[in-house]
Amino acid sequence: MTAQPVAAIVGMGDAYATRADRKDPLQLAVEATVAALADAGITKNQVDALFTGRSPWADKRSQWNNIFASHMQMPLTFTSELTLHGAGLTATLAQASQMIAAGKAEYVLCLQSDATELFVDAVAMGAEADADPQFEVIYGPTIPSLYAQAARRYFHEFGITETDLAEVAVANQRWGAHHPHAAKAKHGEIDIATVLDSPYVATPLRRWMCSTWGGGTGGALVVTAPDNVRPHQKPVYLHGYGSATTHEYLSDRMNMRGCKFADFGTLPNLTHTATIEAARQAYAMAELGPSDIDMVQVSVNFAHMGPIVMEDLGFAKKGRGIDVYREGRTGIDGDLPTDTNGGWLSFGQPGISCNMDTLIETVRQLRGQPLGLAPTRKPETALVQGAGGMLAAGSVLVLAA
Amino acid sequence: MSETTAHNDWPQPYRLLDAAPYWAALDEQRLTFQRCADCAEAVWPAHSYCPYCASSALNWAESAGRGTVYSFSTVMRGPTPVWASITPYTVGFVQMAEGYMLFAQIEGGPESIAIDQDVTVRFVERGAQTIPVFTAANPG
Repeated sequence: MTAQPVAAIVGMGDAYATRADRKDPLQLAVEATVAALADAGITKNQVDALFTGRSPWADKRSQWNNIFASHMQMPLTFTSELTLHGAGLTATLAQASQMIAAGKAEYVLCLQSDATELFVDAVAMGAEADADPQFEVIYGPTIPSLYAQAARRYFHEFGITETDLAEVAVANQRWGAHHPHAAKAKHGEIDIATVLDSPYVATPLRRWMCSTWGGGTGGALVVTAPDNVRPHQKPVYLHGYGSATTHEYLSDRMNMRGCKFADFGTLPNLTHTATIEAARQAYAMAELGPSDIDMVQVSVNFAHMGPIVMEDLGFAKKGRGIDVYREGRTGIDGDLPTDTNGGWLSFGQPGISCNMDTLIETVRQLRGQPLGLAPTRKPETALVQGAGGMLAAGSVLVLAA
Repeated sequence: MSETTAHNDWPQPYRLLDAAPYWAALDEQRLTFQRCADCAEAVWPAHSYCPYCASSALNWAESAGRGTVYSFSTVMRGPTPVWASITPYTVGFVQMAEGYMLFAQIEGGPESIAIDQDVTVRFVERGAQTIPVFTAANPG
């Protein structure tokens, strides 16, 4: 059965911004943190450590974790940005639990905010940040066109089509249409024709197969030891975590000749990700497997990453991840409700280090306090997957109410 | 490292010292790569130690400039004005005959490019730098 939890989330705070209600990342982070501390019933002086993901794109100062802490006048014993690319934010909970287990912290704040759409021309700067500046940027790749390298191979190797990928966008939009902060909620539910009628951004990815920059979000979690939970707190327990990374730039990945992660597949490949290894670690630690998971929040910035990640998480055989979507398993009545705020395809991707939006959604669902739709069967266990870089890194958490 | 400033808006390579011979050879329209004298693997991108066996015996060799398309995507929305001015254009990975993967632009209409297609190098000037691009080896 389930292993003993390694940490407990006892405070949660979220904050949102739109073009009409602009807030910068510092404002979003403060709002979320104040709410999370109040929710946990502690003061900022009880926080020992702070972890963030990458600096927000909308405020690219380095050591953003330090900048936030000093802005809060919140001295700490330790703080850091964790940057397994975008997977680092998910990994903050692992670092928090390790400090707590080592007796080095009683409360750790895990935090992220971004508002890319409100402050940055992300199209112009996108690929320069994530492509090799020496050997790739000189060819003008965009982030969609780099991810599309994987989509094209996935089609080629497994017979997947654009119509298949449209199923992912339709499934996510079904959730997103009902979430008050989903960037694409205004479009309502869509069908496959809607997706296939949208123009290509970078072949074979059409506009509805790509995440959108969605407003801004901030999210903060207060983490402590399981035996430190007090009666009034509504804890969500962390049972397992794992993370892995294989490269920074796609050119490095494509020239790998071997990988120590057992299930990574033969190389070269663009259809397996480090999430395979992250999931293996997290399941082993939690003493749980895919069949024990009631709900999933994944990093699907482009539609093909839905089925690929589902495969990497063990919910389908390689090449058959689309069935999880096609059979309705990810929907409100499904056995594996997925991306219940619409995910990055519909909720939007508020920034580059933005997985706090999925963590917040997970905590809200496990508490039974969703802002959008709740699955028909209230989830007791949840898996959160964060990904980052150009297919570079993955982090996985197993959480339970 | 030297500057990465744009020349006529074309982004220029962020030059690391390991790759200096690569950029110099391109000025003579020669495409080069490294090969490890110890494990015989083709090494790319440029390194100072072999990533496969840690040997420092890396030699520069000349590529014949032929390969096959491993994957590709046609960019419909250019990231900056200079790229927007040439859309649609295709970028992808070429599996080089010498045994390494090279990211590059692949010329031709998006419907004319396919995985496993044979391609061959040609050289174009982008700002101050000559760079390799690929085109169908047997067009038509």
